[in-house]
Amino acid sequence: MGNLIGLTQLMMGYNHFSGIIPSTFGKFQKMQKLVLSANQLSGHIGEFVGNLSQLFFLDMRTNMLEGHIPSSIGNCRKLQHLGLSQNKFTGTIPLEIFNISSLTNLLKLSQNSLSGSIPKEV
Amino acid sequence: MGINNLEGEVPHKLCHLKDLEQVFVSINNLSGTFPSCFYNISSLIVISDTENQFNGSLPPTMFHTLPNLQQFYIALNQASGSIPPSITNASILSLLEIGANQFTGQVPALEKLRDLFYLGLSQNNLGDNSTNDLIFFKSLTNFSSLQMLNISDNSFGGQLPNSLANLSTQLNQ
Repeated sequence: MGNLIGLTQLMMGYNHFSGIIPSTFGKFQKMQKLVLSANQLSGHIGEFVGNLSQLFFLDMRTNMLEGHIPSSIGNCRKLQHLGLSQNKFTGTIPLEIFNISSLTNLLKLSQNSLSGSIPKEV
Repeated sequence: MGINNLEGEVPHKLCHLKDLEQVFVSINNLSGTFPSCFYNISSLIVISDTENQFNGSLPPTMFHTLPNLQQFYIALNQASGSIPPSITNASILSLLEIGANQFTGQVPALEKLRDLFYLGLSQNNLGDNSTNDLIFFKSLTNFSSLQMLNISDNSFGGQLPNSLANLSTQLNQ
């Protein structure tokens, strides 16, 4: 499944996919909608996500993803929907998320192990 | 005949329209099996019977007898069985939407479908939660035309292959 350079929408939710999200996903530079929710994906979301500058819809809810939410997600300036709930994310919520002005549709981070405070400016 | 309240079965007599290029019976309340004689009308370019209550399976050889078919929409019915193996040779098919039916089994290899830009397989029971499910992924290599791939809500398993978006060979050339 290499060289799917033109993909703008990839929906793979509600299956049984396991393992990590390959960093090569960062090469989907035309991607607008990426849905991987409700699988058994593990490991970290790499900084690659910041390469997906056309993304308006990103949903990875209900997996077993862990580690920090990458701050590079702030590069996704068109993001309207960000669903990362029901995973095992730790650390603080990157401030960059709160600077995405288009993020008006959904921001769901519940049921993780996130820590720290939510900035006052939000 | 799309978007009406038509009900009952589609009469086989309609297959006498020998030079038909497009069939639209979407969004009705039609039932029974979509007449298989339509799959022998070689002039057809578009078949759309989405949002009805058609059941039964698709003829395994249907894509052999539809050499001009570019768009095939049968989402939101009750079709079952396998995706016809003959799809492997449907080289001019650009859009396939079979979401929300009851299809089972593996997805055939699609490497000859060079014009495919939309592949909608969601809400079926395809795959069997094994690494075999990824064979069809690998058949999509070099599909720069593909824009929309929806395989949500099936039984696909295995690990996401690194090659999923591996553009390095292409970009270096």
